[in-house]
Amino acid sequence: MIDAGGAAVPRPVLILRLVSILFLWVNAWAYLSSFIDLWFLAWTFIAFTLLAVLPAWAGWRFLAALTVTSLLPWLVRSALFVAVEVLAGELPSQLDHFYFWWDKNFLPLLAPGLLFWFLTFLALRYPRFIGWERLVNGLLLAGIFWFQGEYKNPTFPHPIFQALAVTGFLAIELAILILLHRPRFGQRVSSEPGSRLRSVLPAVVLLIPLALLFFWFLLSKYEEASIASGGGLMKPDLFRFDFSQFIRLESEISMSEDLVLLFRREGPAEKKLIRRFILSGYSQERGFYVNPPEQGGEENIPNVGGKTILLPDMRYAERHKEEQEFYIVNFDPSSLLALNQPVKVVPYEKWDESSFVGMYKVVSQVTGLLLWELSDESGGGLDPRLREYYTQYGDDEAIRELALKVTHDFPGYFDKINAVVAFLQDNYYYSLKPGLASDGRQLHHFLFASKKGYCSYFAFAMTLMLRSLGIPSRVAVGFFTNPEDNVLNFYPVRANQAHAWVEVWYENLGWIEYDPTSANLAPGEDFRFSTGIPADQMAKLISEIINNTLKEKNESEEPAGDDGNVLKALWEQGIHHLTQFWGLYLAGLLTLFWLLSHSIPWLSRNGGTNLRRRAAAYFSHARDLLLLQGLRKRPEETALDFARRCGFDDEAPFSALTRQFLKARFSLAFTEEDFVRLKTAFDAWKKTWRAAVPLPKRIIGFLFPWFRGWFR
Amino acid sequence: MTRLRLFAAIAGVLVLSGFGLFAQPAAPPGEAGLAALLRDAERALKNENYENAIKLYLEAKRRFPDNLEAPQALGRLYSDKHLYDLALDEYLTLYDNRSTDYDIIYKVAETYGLLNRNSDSIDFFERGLRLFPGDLDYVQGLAWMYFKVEDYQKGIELLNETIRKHGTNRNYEMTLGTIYSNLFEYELSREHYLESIRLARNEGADFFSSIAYYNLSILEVAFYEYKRAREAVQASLDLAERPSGELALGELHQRQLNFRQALEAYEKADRTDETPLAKFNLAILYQKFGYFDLALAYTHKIETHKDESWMYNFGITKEKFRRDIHQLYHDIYEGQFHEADFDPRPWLWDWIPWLFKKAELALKAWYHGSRFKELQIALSEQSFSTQNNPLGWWSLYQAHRDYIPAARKYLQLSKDFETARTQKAEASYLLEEGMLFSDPERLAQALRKFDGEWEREEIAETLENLIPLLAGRESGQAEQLTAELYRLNPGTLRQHGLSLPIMANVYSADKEHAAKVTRQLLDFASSAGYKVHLSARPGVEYTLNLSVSQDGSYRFALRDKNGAAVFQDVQKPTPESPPTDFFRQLFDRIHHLPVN
Repeated sequence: MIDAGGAAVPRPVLILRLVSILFLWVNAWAYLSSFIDLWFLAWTFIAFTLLAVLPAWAGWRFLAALTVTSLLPWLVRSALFVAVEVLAGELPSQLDHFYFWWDKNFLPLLAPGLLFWFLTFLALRYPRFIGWERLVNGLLLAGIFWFQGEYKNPTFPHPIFQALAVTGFLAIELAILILLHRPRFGQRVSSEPGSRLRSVLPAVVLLIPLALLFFWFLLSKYEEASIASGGGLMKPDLFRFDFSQFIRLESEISMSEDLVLLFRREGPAEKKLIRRFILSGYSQERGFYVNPPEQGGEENIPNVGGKTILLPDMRYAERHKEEQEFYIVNFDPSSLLALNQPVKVVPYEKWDESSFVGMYKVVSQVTGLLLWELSDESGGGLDPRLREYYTQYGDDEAIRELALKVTHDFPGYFDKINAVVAFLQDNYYYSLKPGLASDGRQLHHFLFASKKGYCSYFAFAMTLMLRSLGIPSRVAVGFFTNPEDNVLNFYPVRANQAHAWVEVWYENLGWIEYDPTSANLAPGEDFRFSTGIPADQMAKLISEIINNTLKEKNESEEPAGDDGNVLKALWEQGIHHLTQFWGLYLAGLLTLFWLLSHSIPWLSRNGGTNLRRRAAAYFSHARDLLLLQGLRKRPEETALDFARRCGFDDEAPFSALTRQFLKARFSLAFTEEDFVRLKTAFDAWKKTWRAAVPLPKRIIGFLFPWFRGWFR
Repeated sequence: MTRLRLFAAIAGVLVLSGFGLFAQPAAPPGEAGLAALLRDAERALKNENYENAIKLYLEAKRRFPDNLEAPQALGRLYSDKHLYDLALDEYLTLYDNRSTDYDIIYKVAETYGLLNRNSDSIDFFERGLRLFPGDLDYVQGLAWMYFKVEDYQKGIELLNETIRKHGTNRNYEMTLGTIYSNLFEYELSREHYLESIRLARNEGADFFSSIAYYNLSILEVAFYEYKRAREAVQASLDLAERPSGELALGELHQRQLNFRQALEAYEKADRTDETPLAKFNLAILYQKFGYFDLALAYTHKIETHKDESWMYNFGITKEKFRRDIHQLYHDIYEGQFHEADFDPRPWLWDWIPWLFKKAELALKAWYHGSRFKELQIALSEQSFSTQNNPLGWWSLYQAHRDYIPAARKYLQLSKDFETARTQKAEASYLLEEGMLFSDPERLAQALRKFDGEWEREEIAETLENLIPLLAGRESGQAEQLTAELYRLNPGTLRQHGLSLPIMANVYSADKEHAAKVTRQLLDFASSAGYKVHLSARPGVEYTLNLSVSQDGSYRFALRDKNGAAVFQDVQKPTPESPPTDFFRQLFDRIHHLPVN
């Protein structure tokens, strides 16, 4: 125990507290790990710990300690700089770099160092503050994860490790709270099993809703930021990275630059639209969404699983077969991506130590028509039920009026479609910050006020305008490929190439793609947009594909469900691992508990300067050992009554031990001599206890300290 | 007997099928054998079926390891597609087989160079030169690599020795010119460049001459010979329209603070430039003129340039380019940090996001500044290791600018070295000393010494540093110099924490309304830190006339001390927009030149 000004903090609490703060430091440091030297960080941590602990032990006032802590680092800096100035010899001097090196490490660590000092000083001086410090730590944790780009922490290779680490951190925080509320030895509380839990129950009851609230807040922020960083189209979570099945128009988005996949296709380098979902369902409340056949929609996109999938070939005219290969790096491998219109999907087997989470080939029936070749085509030939479905536009009269105005001079089917495309491309700007509509109607805000938006705005607007004219159309989402990135027919696709476009119905030809997104950037707005990946990375991936033989999967298993293969695989792997090594895990856990059960009381008895605490620990230990004889202290009896009930007379060593414990607990003075007397009494009693309790029983009690209370 | 025959027959079939199975594993399509494989690969290559072509070449390599046609073809293919890592593997395979082959060694050395693995490249060029002494290509390649790694003496020795033994050529002369340029040997460098140009012109090599003229222009600028530099740039552009020539032209315009001309030249270069250099110059130009969004956009674009092999031909290293990018980011964020001082903050709650914004910008500027310094220190060590002390001193001065005791020593060394070569460098060093010691006297001296036609950029920089040192004096000198700086580059003021001091006149038929608008203007100026006066003050040269008409429209004009309008316009703010928005836009316009 550390006694700071009369109040005491249990040592395990201090240790756990340091672990928790270290976790925060390391996570914050991860952002600048290439910049700040780790050993400088370690020394700063130690220095600020000492600057907090020593004045607290010495009983300094807060202001005095703060003054010293604030000034000392600068004094050290000045002294070192003067020393460098004196010592720097012949030019160029390596010592001259010291100024820069020191400040590069020192300045960014100063603010967190002072904050850490402040918290530690308060924790030592006012132990009750340690409880409140949990709240501060929670806020700091949120802050650390808040300010990172796209909610990725460089410390963790996968979000799942991040989630586990945060869970561990919260467990430590909870443990600190429990230990803080642990009843003191000799305190009049029930010794019944579960009584400790009951004593901390109020804290737990308070903490759990707070933690849930925090998680809810963090997760909603995470989801919001994740969708925004995926161009408003993608929805990554802990287990999978895929497109969202319904698209909301965001007021602001950003673009992640993660490599998603390599796309391979032979033939001239062209911009291609790789489709993931068709969003044909529309309602004013939900916007556009994926609508499976069972809910009245038409398209059903299968998942890529372990076997070849044949999809219905609609036999549209003017189409030819084209093969594509997808090498998935950072995307749900069960998600089917394909050029319009896929007819066959062939999954490939992964090779050992593959850089790809999945690979498959798709054969699509693609249209080879140029735009002007569609000029004589019409929009007939669609089933009336489907026509009605694909022309639902929410009866938005403002949009219909606009569509009528734009297409007024164009009587033909093809001309009307082109007029809408040209209208959007020529009169609207591309923007990642379309702004927030005051009435919540983002699309109206785009069409009639701001005139700027990202691809989803353009796709939504075109689809609704066409639908309002009775032209069947739907939104498609996926990726576009950049012809300039073509290397040996491989195209890297990054997350910022997520895109939305429109498919319009033509009789005999089927669904034809239109991309209405404007190429004009909103005035004063430019954004970081890059395709392609570094040449060495591209070379590595291509080399890996070329040097491995692609083998088609031909398993009998069914394709994975909608929950995603990664989640399933993780779960299966986890279960497999646990079933294989459950004994080891159990033994490890038991050993850990056993060590803690013995070491914490031992440390409490033998460590620290607070004799009263140590005395209490000895008494508590003796009481625990008496459980092996079936002797348990009742809540209503005093310690001396308990001793008497156990059959110890006033001269017995246990009675002497009890008296010294009570002195330590209640007397104004408890000296070193008193403690020696207590220790002597304990040793004497221990001998009698050994004689009274048979060896097998003692061994069982030693091996299973948690079950001592079961002896009667 | 029958059983024995049957057994023998089965065994025979098994043995034969076994032979068949193992003798011809994965037989290639079409005819067996190398020729067929290579032919099929060539065909696949022609059809742009690259994956198939590569697989066929790999198969040929596997089955015929002694034949080198397949790895050669693969190396070529990978090089053509800028996959230099893969190409290098092939060339190294070839080298393992034929370590004395002229082409193979050269390819390895060149590919290492393209991958910016400079020491490996030098190693192979040296190996090649040992095998083929005096070979033109190896000498040129090696000398160029010596230049890249700043090992200038070795480069000079190699070239001079070769010229003595085998005579000169335009390449050797140009490389020598470039090396001497970096050694601050003006006369020698110029002499070699001119010789290179003469040789190239004699051979009718216009494109080469254009490059040599361009290099000459860089030398002239480094030695403050701007008129000569302009002539060299023009000669370069007359011979060939190269992006580098346009960039050099733009840089000269930028020195003169001719924004539009510089922009035009850079944009022209950007249209054809395969390197990120045009974008880099555009980013710097936008930063200097206060267009931070555009500067950041171009800087981001530079970072998206994935292929770094262009550095091989430009004698720049990854570290130097990275250093320059960090400096650019630092200047942008620092400019934004100071510009944020002019965000209006009338209410307490406006201060909280403003403080966060300032902290974020300060952190970003500090981070990139530190990265810049870190790389400067690393580069200085490289310079010292090759005895290029002047470059090292300058790098260390830049790295230690915030620490006067260290910085002044390196600045003095640089100054002694450079002013001994040209007195024209003195003004620049006065500027550096003035900045380092915050000495207005030195800055004023620098101001008097700079060339008013060609060194306007430096003049502006001097004023940016001098004005804060004179601020608060009653004489109005700071205001006068601010007006002078404004005339040079309006976009530089706010990014250095300066604003144009103006006298405002508000007119309206309704006097009460005029008083109200005046109050709003003064409130805005006070909350945003602009210097607006209602009466004449010493040094205040610009006047803002603001007329408010009956229909709520504002007619405004900014006039200089002669009464000439710098700009004027009429604007009608929407009734719901607060007056702060209007004034903010107005002051933004005052402090920016229009881009278009």
